[in-house]
Parts: sequence; C-alpha cells; structure tokens
Amino acid sequence: MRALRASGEGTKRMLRAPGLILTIWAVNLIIAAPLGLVLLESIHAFTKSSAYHQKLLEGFDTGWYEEFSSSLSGPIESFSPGQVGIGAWLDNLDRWWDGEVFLEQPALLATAAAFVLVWLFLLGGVLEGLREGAPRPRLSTVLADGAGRFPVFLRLALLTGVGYYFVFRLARWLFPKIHIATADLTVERDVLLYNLAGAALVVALVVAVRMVADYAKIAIVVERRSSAFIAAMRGVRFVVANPVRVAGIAGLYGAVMLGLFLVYAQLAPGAAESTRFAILAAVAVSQFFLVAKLALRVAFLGSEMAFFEVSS
Amino acid sequence: MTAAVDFVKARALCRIRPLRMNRSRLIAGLCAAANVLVWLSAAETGHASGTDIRSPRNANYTISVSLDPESKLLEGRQVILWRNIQAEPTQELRFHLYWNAWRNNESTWLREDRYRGRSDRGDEIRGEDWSFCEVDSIRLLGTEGGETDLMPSFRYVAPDDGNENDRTVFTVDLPAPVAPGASVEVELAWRAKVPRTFARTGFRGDYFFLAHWFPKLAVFERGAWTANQFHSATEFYSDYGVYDVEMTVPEGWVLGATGKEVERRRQDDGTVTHRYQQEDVHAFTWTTSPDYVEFQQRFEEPGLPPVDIRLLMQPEHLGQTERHFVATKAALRLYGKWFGAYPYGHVTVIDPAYGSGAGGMEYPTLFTAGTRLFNPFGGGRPEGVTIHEMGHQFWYGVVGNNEFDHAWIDEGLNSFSDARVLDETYDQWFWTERYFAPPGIERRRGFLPLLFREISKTREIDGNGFGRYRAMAVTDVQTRPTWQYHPQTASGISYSRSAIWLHTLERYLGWPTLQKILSTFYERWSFRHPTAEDFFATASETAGRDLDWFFDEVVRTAKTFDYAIDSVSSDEIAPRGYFESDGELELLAGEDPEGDDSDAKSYRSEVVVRRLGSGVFPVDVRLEFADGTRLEREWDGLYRWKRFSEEGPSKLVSATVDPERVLLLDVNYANNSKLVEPGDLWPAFKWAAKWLVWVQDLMHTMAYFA
Repeated sequence: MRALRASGEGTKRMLRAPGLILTIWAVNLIIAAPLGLVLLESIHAFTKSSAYHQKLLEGFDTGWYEEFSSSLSGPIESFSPGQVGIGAWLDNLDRWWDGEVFLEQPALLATAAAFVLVWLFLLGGVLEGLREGAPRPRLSTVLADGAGRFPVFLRLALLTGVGYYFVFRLARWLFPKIHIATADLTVERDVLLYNLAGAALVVALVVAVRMVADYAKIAIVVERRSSAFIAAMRGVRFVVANPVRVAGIAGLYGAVMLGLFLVYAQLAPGAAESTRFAILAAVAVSQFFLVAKLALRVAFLGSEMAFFEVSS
Repeated sequence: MTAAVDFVKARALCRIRPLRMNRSRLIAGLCAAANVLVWLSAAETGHASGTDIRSPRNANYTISVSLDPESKLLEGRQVILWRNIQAEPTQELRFHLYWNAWRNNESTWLREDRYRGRSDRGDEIRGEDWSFCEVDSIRLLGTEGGETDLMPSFRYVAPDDGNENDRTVFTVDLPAPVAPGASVEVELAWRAKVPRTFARTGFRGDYFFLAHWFPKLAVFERGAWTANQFHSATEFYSDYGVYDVEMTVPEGWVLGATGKEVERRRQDDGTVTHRYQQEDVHAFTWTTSPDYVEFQQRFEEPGLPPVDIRLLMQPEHLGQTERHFVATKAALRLYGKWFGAYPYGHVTVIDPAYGSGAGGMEYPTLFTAGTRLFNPFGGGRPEGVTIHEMGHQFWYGVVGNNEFDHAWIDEGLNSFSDARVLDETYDQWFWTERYFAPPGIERRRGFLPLLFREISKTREIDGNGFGRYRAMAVTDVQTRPTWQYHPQTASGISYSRSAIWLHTLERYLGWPTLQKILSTFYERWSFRHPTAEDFFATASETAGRDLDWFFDEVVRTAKTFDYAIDSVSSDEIAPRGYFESDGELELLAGEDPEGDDSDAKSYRSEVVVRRLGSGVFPVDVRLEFADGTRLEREWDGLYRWKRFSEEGPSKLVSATVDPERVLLLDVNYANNSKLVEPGDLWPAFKWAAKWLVWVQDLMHTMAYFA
C-alpha cells in the first residue's frame, strides 16, 4: 500500500469517528480549563478596576505585562504575549526542542501528564474504531476497549519513554559537540546547517521511536497482544521490514501538518480583537485548529492501521 | 598648520618601527623631546570648542602591533607620552592590562562573572580560549636619550578587592616625581594572547575584534591614580590623547580601527601594515577579518558637520546594509541636533561575525552593531543597537565619564537618548521571539524569529527597559561606585533606572528644558571626565530650579516609587438628620431635597490616594465623571495618603493618580487608577483563552510522544 493510498484510507477511517475526535478535544479542554480559569481570575483581579482594563481589551500593553507577570506564580507564570497565534505552537515546539518543557511548573506538567494518561486510556478504543470494517465507534465501546488495553499501553509508554530518553541523551551529547565543532565558524548560515543536520538526526530518531510505538500499539489491537515488550519488538520488526513506506506515511503526514501550521499562521488570531464577537471568533478559530490537529493525528493512526493490516 | 597636525607629523617622524625598538635610543630621546614641545604647545592652545585641539591630550600613544592569526598572539611595542595635568605630583605610573581578566579562573572578572550568574565559563574555557597580556619591558625615556629600566619596580596591584591572582593593574615607580604640568615618556614591549571572545573582545575563527588590548595608562586625578581592576559588570576609564597605531595583519584581510587610515605598507612576508591616527580619544580599538565587505556613505545634515561612515559588513548580512546606515545617520542627526555635533568627521560601523560575541559595544569613532541572518524589520535590531552604540560616541566618547564609578552617566544618558531616537525614527517596533536555538544555548539566540505585529513596543516601557528597572529598582543606591554594585543588577540600574528617571525628568520639566540640560552637559563636559555631581549641578543650573530633591529621591538613594488609588466612591448626596433651613432645624430623612428630578441630583465623590513606596514625587490626580467632566488635582505626594472629595451633578467613573504617567519610576502603574464600577471579564477572557490554547497544545505535543 502506497503512502498516499494509506493516508486516504486513514482519512476515511478518521471521518468515521468525528464524535470521538470532538470527545478527545473536549477532554483536553476540560483538563486544561482549570488552569485557564486561574489565569482568567488573575488577569481580571489585576485589571478589572484599572485603566489597563480597556487597553487589554483593545490590544496588549507591555508595561502591564511587566507588572502582571511579576505577580504570577505557579503554572500561569508561563503566560507570555509570545503565545499569541502561531507563537503558541512554536513556543511549545521550542520548549520541547531545548528540553525546557521539563522545567515547567509541576502543576502544568501534571496537567499535561493527566491528558497523556487519558489519551492512552482512550487510544485502545480509538484504534479499535480505526480497524478495517469497524463500526462507527460509540463512547461506551471506546471506553471499554480503552480500559482493556490501558495497562499494556501504559507499559508500552514506559518502554517508549526509555527510547525517547536515549534519544534525549544523544541530543544532549550531540549538540554541545556541534557547538564546539562550529565554534570557529563565522557564518550563521553554516552554523545553522550543522545544527539542522543534528536536528534532522534527532527528529528522525524521535519519529522512529514514535513509529515503533505506533505499530506496537496497532499490533496490540490487531493481533491481540498483551505483552508490551513483544508488541514493541513487533513494532521494531514491522518498521524495519517496511522502512520506506512507514517513512512515507509519516513524511506525508508531516507535510500535511506543516501545511496546517502554515494555514494557522495566516489565520491565527493576534492580539487586536476587541469586541465580544471578535474575541469569541478568535477562540473558535484557535480551538478549530486544535481539533484539526487532533483529527490529523487520528487520521495518521488510521493510515498506519490500514498499512499494518494490509502488510502483516 | 595646527598644533595637532604638527604633533601627528612629529610622531610620524619619530615612529618606532615594529621590533626595532632598540635601534636608536638617541633618536627616541630626541623625538620624545620634540613631542613634548609640540604637545605642550598644543596644551597651551587648550581644548576650547572650535579649535582642533579638543581635549587635554595628556595620554598619547604610538603603538606598533602585529597579529599572528595562527597562534592568536599580538606582539606590540608602544611609547606613551603622559603629562600630569593635575595639581599634585606623582612618582608612579599605573596601567591597566585588561586581557589578564581572562588569564585564569581566579581573576576578579571571572570570579564576579560566576557570582553574577551569567556564566560558569570557568569550566568550559579551553586552553586556546584563555588570554594574557605580558609586559616584557618598560623603560622611562629621558629627554637626552637616557633610559631608566622600570621593570625592577614592576608589580601587580589589586586596589579594589586585594585579589592576589588578579593581574589587571600594574604599577611602576618613577625615579623622580612628575610635577604638575610635567611630562614623561615610557616605552613598553609586550605580548598578548587573544582570547576567545570575552567582554566583546577576542577571536572566532579568522575573525578578530581587539579592544582594550594594550597596556593602558590609568587616570591620575585628585592626587591619586584611579586604576580599578577589570570587573565583570563595568567598563573602562582613560584620559584623552592622540593615538598613532600601526597594525600588521595578513595581506588581503580587511581592517577597521579607531581613527582614519593614513598609510598602508606591504611586507615581503605576506603581511600588510595599516597605520591609523586619531586625536582626542581615550581608547583605540581595531578589528580584522578576511570576510568583511566594506561600504561607505556620507552623513550630511544642515547645521551639522558631515561624517564619513565606513561600514564593514558580514557577507551574509548584505541585505541589511542600508538598515545600518539609516540607523547610524538617525543617531548622528538627532544626537547632533539635541546635544551637539559629532566632532570627529568619521565613524566606522562594524557588523561582527556570527557568534563572535563582539556585538553591541562602543569604542572611540568605531562601534559594533550586531544582527542575525534572519532578522525581519520591526524587531528593533540592528536598528536599536546601532543607534545605541553610535550614541555612545557622544555619551562615553566625547563626554568621558569614569565607567568604573559612574557607568550610569554614559549608559543611562545613552539608553534614554537611543530610545528617543528609535521612537522618532521608526513608526513602530514589535514584540519579537526567537525559536530553535541549539539546545543549551539561551532561547533568545534562536535561529528563527517571529514578529508579533499586533503587540507594539513603546519607548517608555521597552525602550527604557522598564522590566529590568522594576526587577532591580532598589538593589543598589545608584551613586554608589558601579563596580561595587551587585553584579547582577549593574545593567538594570546603570541603563534602565537611569533612562527611566531621565524620561521622568523629561515629562516633569518638559523636553525643551531637559534637552537644554543635556546639551549644556555635553558642551561643558566634552573631552573631560564629569562625575555624577557635575551632572546634578548642570541640571539644576540649566533648569533654573533646584533639582537636588529629585536626585536625592532617585539617584542618591534606593527608593521605590508607587502611588496608588486606594478607594473610590461616588454616592448621591442624601442628607439625613437635622439641618438648618430658614433659621429653623429641619429633620431630613435622606430623600432628594429636590424631589425625584434626576437632573438635580448631586453626588459626593471621594478618592483616597496613597503613597505606597518610599520615594516622593509630586503627582496629579484625575477624576473622570459620567458626563465627561475631568477634574485635575495636584498632590505634593509627601504624606502617605490624601483624600480628595468633590461634589457635583455627575457620578464619578474613575480616578487616576499620575494620569499622564510623568513618574515613569512608579513600579506599579496598574494600581494608579481605579474604576468606580469594575470592568467586565472580557479582557481577561481574551488573554486567558490565548494562554489556554498554548496549554492545550502543550498537552497535545506531550501526547504525541505517548
């Protein structure tokens, strides 16, 4: 099965489960919302009686931000105007890239970890729904399937974590070496190219670990495996046996994700919306793109599932 | 021909060729005598504005130096002609050896840098990265060819902290005192190892930026040598003089330096010697690289002298060439119009190599800007840094304060000024983030920039560095010697706090008055060494009012400023109880005495303003009413609180203390205003929702790995 056909099949299977995607999005929103409410209350308390109230409605004020940000503690300390629009996506990628994400506030990390657990819980049901000929998934079946697979998925996640850890260690070793190797280069473009080469290696390894993990999960669902380790080995064997097509599917979805990113960069709301309608519209646009990202993720899993089913 | 030109010619005739120092002591002695004569005649001419002799020229250097790019070694010989312009004699000479700050990890500079939390480079520095400056010989030249070897009395001193491992200051004893008005001439031979860049000087590959690279006389003033060790958070201090410098580098390498090139000679060994001269400066800096691309433009503006601008760009930044010229000219034009003309007629702008760490630094008639491969217009760089460093040609170059003791004079005045130029020259600049720095490198160095064009930066907040000031508002008394500041806070105080109180003065006195203060200070202290008190005195005198109270509150002490509206209320007046009416007591029950006619309603509005900070500043209080009426009330701001009460036909909507934000030093402006009816949730919702998206996306990204 070619990557393009697999992706078409994956998209078809994803479209069988729009409710499921919205459910995952809603769970994500519900888990994040308490933190958002904390920030909302903090901003409101800080500005409701001040002249800044109107300024913040109409745009942003860096003077206000200097004062407000110094009053923050806990997870909302990370609030920054650099998170506007596409900045939110870039900022997150950047935090992952330099490892700063691990230095985030524990409450923020715990919240994110909670979503990861929910995701792992739902994933069994999601993958069952993505199998060939599977009926339109219902929440009750998804929960039941998810509950059944959760323990083995959790163990697999720990194994995958070990894989990521080694990639992380490699990156921590590699980039200082690149830094030293480029210490006498005086052209930024050259230094950038060296770093891009290093980044390409690290990203390729991350994607490889991720592919192994994905096909291991698919193997758990399709082949009814209960051992995370054996599933992981199955994932390794599958990826090694089909490197081009596995990479092709991943590359295709990477390209689509980049396209989505570029579209969002054009449409993402900035800081200027000042009417209630405009504010609500901005929220809707941002949330829509999160849903789109999620849908793409599920479609990718659907493609991998279709490819696995045909190839194994 | 002016005395200045005579001097240069005499120096040229007497120039001691590289590595031939001992060839003729007699000639050297005669030359020294000739120089003294020329130089004394120059000194008599004075340094009044309008003559070619602008400065005392009491520390004059003739230097020959060669660079070996492979070994990163400089080998130099120099003659210093120094005149004692103080009323007291001295029998010693003190010198700075700045590059010994990176001789080992026990230097005062590196100890402070670690304490500053800025760097733990002591563990990362490789063998080739360290530097040194070793004096091999130092001799006193006599007027009749005699010489006295001063090496026997050579010793390192550490006057600031007694650090025995610090080698950044040395002293030698003279056989006889140098009387007031008398001169001495000394020659030195030295070797120096170029560091991998520290404090903006050093090498990266075949890129060399060489600042404060030679043994440099300290300043003799008020009967003692001001010769601070090199500190991590402070800069430099020297007397003015004439520099005549020969630099030998590989052929084909482009060279930029303080002053103007007057001669170029090729040697058979594949090297080229560039000779540069500059009068009336207090340092000499140079840079060389095979990669520089040279551009020239001329600044011309009615009422100001023309300035030839030489720009040395990195090849990968050629698309940004014009941006550098525009910013440099903007600074020349506005500083020139506001404070006084740039006197040198030429300036060299350096675009440093990537990663060289040489960007954003000022030297006489030469400065480094700094940009990146991807650098969209609107982010503030390289425009901001170019204006700032060009501005230092005025505040530091021409007005030469002691940067060890009062760095805030040049940094503060210049930060204030460059923000004003940036604001006048460019329509807008925006919040900018940079992403994807190599792991372990600070995020702001990321390769990929993103401008947030809906989030504008402002002169008063971002240009003046309000955030840095706010974080360090009370860490140190500003008039304390800068080198004694807590190392982490030196820049926040020297740059930002000073820029903000100057901007406060601008809003308090008006720009014409502050402009007059600054131009008077510039004129009066050009080519001299003003102190903080000199600035204060000039300010009060020029403003025509005693501003000592302001400097007491703001500069001589470390006070915080925070005025706040504590409470606002506006209630309909409804008299209850016994009131006199037509000579009779009347019992009122709180109803409107005029009945239900709403037009006749009257409100009592009360506002309580508090001074929460320790600093005192007179402020206005603005009351805004529902019918659009505004009342302005003055408060001297002295006591801790004051109540304002107004009666009128309209209900109070809001109260603001310091509504025009004159007191930019106020660290909490959010509490300066209060609405009678609190605002709704929409602004908070708008911004919390944006952050929520970031949190959700963070969770999505984390789930990607699961």
